[in-house]
Amino acid sequence: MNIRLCLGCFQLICLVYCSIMLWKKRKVEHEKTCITSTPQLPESITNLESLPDEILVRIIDHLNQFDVLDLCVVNTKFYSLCMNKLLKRALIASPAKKPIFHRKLNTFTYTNFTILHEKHKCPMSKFKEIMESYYNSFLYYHLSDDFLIDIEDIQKSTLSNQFQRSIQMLTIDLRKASQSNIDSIQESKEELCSIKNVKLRLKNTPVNYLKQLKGIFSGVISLSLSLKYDIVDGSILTSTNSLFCSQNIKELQLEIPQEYVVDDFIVSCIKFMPNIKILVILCSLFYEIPNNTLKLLADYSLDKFCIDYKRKIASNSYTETNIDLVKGLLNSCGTNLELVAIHTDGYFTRLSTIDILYHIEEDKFEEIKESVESLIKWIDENIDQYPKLKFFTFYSCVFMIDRQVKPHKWETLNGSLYLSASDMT
Amino acid sequence: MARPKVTLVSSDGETFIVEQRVAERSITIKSAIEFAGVDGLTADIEIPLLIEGKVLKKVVEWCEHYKTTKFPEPDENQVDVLSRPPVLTKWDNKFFRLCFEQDMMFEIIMAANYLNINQLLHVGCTTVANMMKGNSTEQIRELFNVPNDFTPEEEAAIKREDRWTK
Repeated sequence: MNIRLCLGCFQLICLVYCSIMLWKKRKVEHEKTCITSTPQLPESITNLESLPDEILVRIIDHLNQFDVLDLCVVNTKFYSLCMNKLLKRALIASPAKKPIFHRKLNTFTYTNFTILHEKHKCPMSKFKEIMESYYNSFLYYHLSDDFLIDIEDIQKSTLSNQFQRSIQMLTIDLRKASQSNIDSIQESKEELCSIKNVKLRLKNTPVNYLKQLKGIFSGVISLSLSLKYDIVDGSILTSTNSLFCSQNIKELQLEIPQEYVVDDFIVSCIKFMPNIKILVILCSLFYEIPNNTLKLLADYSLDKFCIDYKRKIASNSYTETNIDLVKGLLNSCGTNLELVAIHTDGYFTRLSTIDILYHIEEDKFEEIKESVESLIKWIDENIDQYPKLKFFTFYSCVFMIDRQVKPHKWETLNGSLYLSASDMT
Repeated sequence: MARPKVTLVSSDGETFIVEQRVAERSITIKSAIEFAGVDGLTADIEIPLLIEGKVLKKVVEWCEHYKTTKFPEPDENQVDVLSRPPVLTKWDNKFFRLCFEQDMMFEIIMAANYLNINQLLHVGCTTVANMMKGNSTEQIRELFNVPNDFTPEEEAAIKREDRWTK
């Protein structure tokens, strides 16, 4: 009898509690009526539009900028929801630049940005408004003479005010910079010092420009260098050194020219920036990091190490290279390594995963199937030795699944194997 | 004594008897159980829910499938949603794509939201986003049966204004 009574009590309490919880979520004001009367069912959801805003925002978060552009003109509701996302990240392309915003030309990098293009009627007033009213966490800042003249007024008023509090990552493309560009950068020195993430594109930038910018990025923690120099040697390092305080730098991304062997450069970089924890190297598929360099990297106890291969350099032998490289990395970096990312396409952000991204053209698959299978087999056999590995993502899983190439022991990664489903239909 | 079972009752009276750990995939239910007994669950318990039976059935199916899986904690500091690892497993994909009508999918997302099952909500949102990917505005309207409520003037103005973004 007592037990029954207890049970009855439980049920009653739960009923009331659940009602309150659910009702609160629905933000209905008449709580009192809800508890005493029979709670009403949530209205039937038969249409995308009838989902609550908070859920729609979550859905929009999963889309890249270009899909959001299509979605925003569906109707007024989506327009208002999408605008927040669209204006959160902006990329300003100079008028001189080719239309990179075209969907087909869109690279992985640019899908994360909304491209504002002067030539395509991005009114500068509009840009100013964006900068002022939205939290612009990422700004791509392409420098060229033409462009700087166009945005001069913004530079003085809006940009400098906004820099400190809103910009988390700044990309400066110095490839076509002129002396006047350098001068205006110097004027913004105070603001620039506070920026923690900087990407510098330095191809053919005269060394004396770099020297002029001494100390300009002293607050940088995460640095990305694009070094397509005609000659890569230590002198570049010495000149770039004056730009930032090398002790502060924890993350370094290097874009390496394909024509040159730059092992020495990598070695001097990590010696030069002793506190590096995350190293990312973007390089050509033909470039292989030799074993002794890998061993040296292992001594630095990096937390993350990524190698990003450019997709555009297609070669029949590249998969072989990648496989050897994965083996080499895992072998030489030892069991402390938490992340290895090998990309075959341009861009990645801070992944907490071990990624092997193969963007394989379907008709190429047969050619390389054997080597992919052998990589999977090798990983299957050896994965136990790397207890810290967190994730392993295989991006060409569409082909994997189609062709029944399945990894067997990947569950050992604590159920955290994720296949990229984005391309599945 | 056998472990106490949790009975979930749908709004239309269907009952689902599940293990406690399956039910506790839902934070809402978990709190309700904690609220009911501070020392843990000692007897069977019945929890009425504001969810239709056919929807609850699918939610329970999902929770059963993932009852032992540990999901990574969502990282609040992560600014960029696109850099998160893709979350759809093959099973998830099948679960959402093959078994449902569209309204069922939305009902499940709503249920996941009400019951506070973060991972299911995440998976659901990803699925909807994947359906949208690569579609034109017209195709999205058609696919999800969303009417266009812009006036012709508004639409023209937006198209003009948005030219700078494309």
